[in-house]
Amino acid sequence: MNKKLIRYIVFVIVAGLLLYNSVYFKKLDAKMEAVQTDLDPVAFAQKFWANFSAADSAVEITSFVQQLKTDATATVAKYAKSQGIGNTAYVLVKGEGIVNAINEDDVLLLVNPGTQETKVKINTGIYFGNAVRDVTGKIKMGDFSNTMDYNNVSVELNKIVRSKIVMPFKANTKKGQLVQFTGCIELNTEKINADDITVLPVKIIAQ
Amino acid sequence: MNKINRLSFLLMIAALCIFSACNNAGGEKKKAKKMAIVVSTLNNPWFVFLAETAAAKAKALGYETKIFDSQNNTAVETDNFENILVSDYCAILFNPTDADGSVANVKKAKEAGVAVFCMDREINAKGVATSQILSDGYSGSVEIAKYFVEVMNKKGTYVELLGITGDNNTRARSSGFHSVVDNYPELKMVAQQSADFDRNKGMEVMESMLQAHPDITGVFCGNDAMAMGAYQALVGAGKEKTVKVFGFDGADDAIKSIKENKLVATGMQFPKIMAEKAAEFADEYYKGKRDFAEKIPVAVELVTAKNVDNYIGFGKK
Repeated sequence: MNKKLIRYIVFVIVAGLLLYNSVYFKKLDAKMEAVQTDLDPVAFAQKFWANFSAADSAVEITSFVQQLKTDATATVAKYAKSQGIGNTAYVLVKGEGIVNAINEDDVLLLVNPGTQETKVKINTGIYFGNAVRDVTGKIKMGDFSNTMDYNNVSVELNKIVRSKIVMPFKANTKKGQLVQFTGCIELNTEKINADDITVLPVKIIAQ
Repeated sequence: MNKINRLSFLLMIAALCIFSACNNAGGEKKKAKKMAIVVSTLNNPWFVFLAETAAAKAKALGYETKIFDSQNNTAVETDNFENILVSDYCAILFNPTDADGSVANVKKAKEAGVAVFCMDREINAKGVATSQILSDGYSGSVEIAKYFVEVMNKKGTYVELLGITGDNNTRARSSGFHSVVDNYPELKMVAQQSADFDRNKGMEVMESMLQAHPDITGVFCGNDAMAMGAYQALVGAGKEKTVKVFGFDGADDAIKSIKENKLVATGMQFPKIMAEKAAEFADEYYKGKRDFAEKIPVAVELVTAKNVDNYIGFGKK
């Protein structure tokens, strides 16, 4: 009788242990974040930003807009950078203009007022695209073993631009101020509108 | 005379050896004009389209083809690779089942001298696949999220249906979406659950989410199959007019649903471009090209009621 009882107890303990070790509960977030990557996107973005010699390769904005109006395809081919297959392309531009209006998500500049006047919006809203990462063509998807690293680098670069460039400019800009800028234009190559140009600034000096 | 004959015989042998060595330069033996197409599942119309398009393009380029179904299972995928590697295929057009779990299979193919071209989904390894032609799901989800914020008027509660949790596309789509939406504090996600990219599971998960959160006004789904399942659940609960459903893929039924104002938006991936490009690359590889970009992103476009007439299932008109 005793032997039978011991056998039952051992059976219950073994079955319990087996059952306990067969089922695991994990938070979905933990499972989603479980993939280890070999890159620190914050450090990568900071290093890239430190070496971002924006002004050197930027095209002058008035000249760019005029060329875009004359021959959009040739102008995009000459100046724009893009990654892979799609309609999004990025151009690095520079110029200076007078602050004409301050809106919720942009500041309107008049470049060359009076002569070859060009209206340019400086983006001061939250930017979610890949302009900063892709505008130089130096960062390639193939450089990353995991595409999430590649995406996270873009997120970190956008954060740097927002905290170091956009927010200080947005806080201090005034109507009538002269502003010198270098920045990225994001183009949809299927629907180019040379009269509606928005620049995400990567360097800005307001006088 | 004998000496001359012997010398010319030796020279002929030497020439034959040199010719044979040149033909097998770098240890590469010319394989048969056969391409294998391995896809994660044939239980989803999107992947069926991807596989059939790749096969059709390869055939048009003069190759014999065979489609292998991995049934969303890396063990089945491994069996498929083992069969392929003993069957003298020259290339594999590959849609991986698991970003990490599929790496070993691609390595084996590389060791056997069979080029692998990934389509849509990536493997987490550099220098293993010959090239990876990948859907840019992250940027596509960013576009969907921007529209989601606009349609939801920057406020309300919503739920998210995720795809297979180990899959890179699941992470990319969810991360891209949240990189935008999480900036709006009045938009609150009240539940997030995996439905494995499956329509029936999408319906079941949505049904249980609706019981716990009857007041939601939005659903973001990691693919169109789950979005269609979620919409069915909403119809069952009489909430299809108050809850806005967003999908991802650009599947035929999702495009029709957007036209009928059922689904609000989807992200159009371009399986035709990815499949055809993979077949073209494999053909170029067969003909001797070796210099391919390691990864090529293919843009995803936002499809809404405003521009849906420009699209058909899986692509543009």
